[in-house]
Amino acid sequence: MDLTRSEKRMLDGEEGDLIREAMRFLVALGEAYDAGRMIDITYANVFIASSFWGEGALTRDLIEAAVREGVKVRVPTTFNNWGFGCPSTPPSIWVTMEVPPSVKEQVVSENEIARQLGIVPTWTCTPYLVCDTGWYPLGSHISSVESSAVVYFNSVLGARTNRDCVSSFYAAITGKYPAYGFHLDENRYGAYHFDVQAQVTDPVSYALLGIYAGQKAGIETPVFTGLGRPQTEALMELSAALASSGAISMFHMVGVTPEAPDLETAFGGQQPLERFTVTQADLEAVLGKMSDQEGKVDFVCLGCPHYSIYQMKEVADMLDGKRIHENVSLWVCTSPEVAMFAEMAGYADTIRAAGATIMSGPNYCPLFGPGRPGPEYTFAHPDYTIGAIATDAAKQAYYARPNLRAEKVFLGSREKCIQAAVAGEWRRD
Amino acid sequence: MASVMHGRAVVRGSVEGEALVSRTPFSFFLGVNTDTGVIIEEGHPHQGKSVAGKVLVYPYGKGSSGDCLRLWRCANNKAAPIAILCTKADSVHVQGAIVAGVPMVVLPDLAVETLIETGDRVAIEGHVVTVLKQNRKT
Repeated sequence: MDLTRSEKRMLDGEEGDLIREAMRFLVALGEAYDAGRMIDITYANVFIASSFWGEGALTRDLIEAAVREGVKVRVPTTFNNWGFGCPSTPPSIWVTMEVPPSVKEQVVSENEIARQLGIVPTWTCTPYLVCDTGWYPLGSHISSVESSAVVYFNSVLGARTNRDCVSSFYAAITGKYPAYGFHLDENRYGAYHFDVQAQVTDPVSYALLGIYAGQKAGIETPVFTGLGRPQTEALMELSAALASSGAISMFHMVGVTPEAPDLETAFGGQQPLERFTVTQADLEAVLGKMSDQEGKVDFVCLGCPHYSIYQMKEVADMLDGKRIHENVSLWVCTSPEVAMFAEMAGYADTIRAAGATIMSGPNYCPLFGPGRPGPEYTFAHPDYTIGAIATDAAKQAYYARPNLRAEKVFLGSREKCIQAAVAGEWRRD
Repeated sequence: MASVMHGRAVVRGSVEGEALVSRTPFSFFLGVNTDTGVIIEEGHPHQGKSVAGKVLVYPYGKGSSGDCLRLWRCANNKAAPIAILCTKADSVHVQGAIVAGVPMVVLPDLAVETLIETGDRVAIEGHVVTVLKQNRKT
C-alpha cells in the first residue's frame, strides 16, 4: 500500500504502540483486499468489548497505556457496549439481571476507557437515530460496526462503510481506513433485482422481505423496485433482516437510496445477475418458516433494532389502560437517549403502568438473554431457555432459537405482540 | 489424488488439517459455542460438530458484525478453526481472521465448498491450497 508520511509515522510506532497496532491491522486489512491507499474517514461507530480481548493484538494493557499517553479518537465516534454502566440504567438492574461482579467491573472499566478516548457513549445499535445529522454528503467515508447500521448508513444515508468490527476502533483512533469494498464507486452497484409485487407496507413485511432477499442475494447488493417511500422504522427492519440471513452491506431502493434515482443508475449501467419477482406467497413462506402458529407466550421483546421515539409512542398508545398478563415479561428495547425522550413525553409512565419494562441501552440486547447478561452467557449455560418468545423483529426471531434457546418463536406486528403480552398467548390469525 | 488450488491468502499461514465443509453461508454469531467451537446453529448439517482444529470451509460469512469478535473469542479459548477457506471475503470474517491470527484463503473463482468434502485432508501454504481426497465410495 502507498502510505502518506503521516500514515507511515503511525505504522512506525512514532505515535505510540496502540496507534502502531491500529495501522498494522488496517494495512493487513487493506492488503487482504488489494487496497492501494488509505482514506480519511469522517465518523466511526465502534465496539469497546474487552471481554474479547486477550492474547494477540489488542490487549487491555495496550489500550490503558494509550489512554495514559493521551490518545484520543480523531473523528467523531460513537460506541455501543453492554449498557450496564450507562447513566439511565437503574442500579437495581445489576441485581435483577444477576450480573456477575466480574462482568460489572469489566463493563464499567470499558466505559471509562471509552470516555477517556473521547468517544460519545450512545449505547445503541441505532446511533443514526440519536447522534447524527441524518444526511451524509455523497461519498462520505465512515467506519461502522453493527451490521444493521452498516446497511442503513450505506443505503439510506448515503455514507460509505464496510461491514466493520475491530477495524472501526482502529479507524477511530487513526482517522484512516483502507480504500476497499463499499468505499469505492465500482463496488456499490446492485447485483440482483428484486421486483416487489407483494403488499410491503409495515415494518414486519419489510423485515420479511429482508430475510427473503438476504438469503437470495447472500453477500451481493440487492436492488428493490415496487416499494413506496417507507418510514424510517421499516428501513431499519429491512436493514437488520438483510444482515441476518445474508451478509448484505448495502441495498438500493429506487427512489429512496441516494445513489439510486433510477434502476439503471443502481446497476451502474450493467445487467442484473438475476431478477426475482417477490410475491405475497414468498413472504408468507418466510413468515411460516420463522414463526410458530399459536401457543403460550413467556416473553415479548420489542425494539430490535432499538426503537425510535415514534415507536415508543405507538407502544404507549397501544398499552394505555391495559395490563400485561402476569406470566409474561414485555420488554421494550431502545437507546438511553430515546428512553429519556419517552420519559419526558410521558410514554414511559404509560408503558410501565401496563407492567412492561423499558430496557434502555443494550442492558439487554435482544439477541442475548434477559437475566443472562454478558457476552457468551447464554452459550455458557446450555440448559438456559427463554421459553416462548414473541417479537416484531425478524432479526430477533432469526437469532432467538440458537442464541436464546427459545422453545417457540412468534413473529408478527407490534400490535399482535402487544395483544399476546396482554392475553398471555399467541393466537392464530 | 491431490488437487491444488491457487487462491488469495488474506491471512497467510502454513497449516494442514481435516476439512469441515459448510455448503451454506456461515455465522459464528448464529451458531458456534466459543468455549468449545461446537456448532450449535439449529438445523446446520454439522450441528454438534466442532470447528476447533479444523480447516473450516464455507462460501462466505454472514450475519452480525459480532462474528469477528466471536471468532477471536474462539481463538482465545483454543477453539478456533486452524484455517478458513471461502469463496467470497466478507469483511467481518476477514477482520476476525486477521485479529485471531487464523490463516484464511479466498478462492474467488471456485465454489470451494463443493470441491472439498468434510474429512478431506487439506494443506494450506500461503496462497496455495492442496486437497488430499479421502477414500470414499463413489
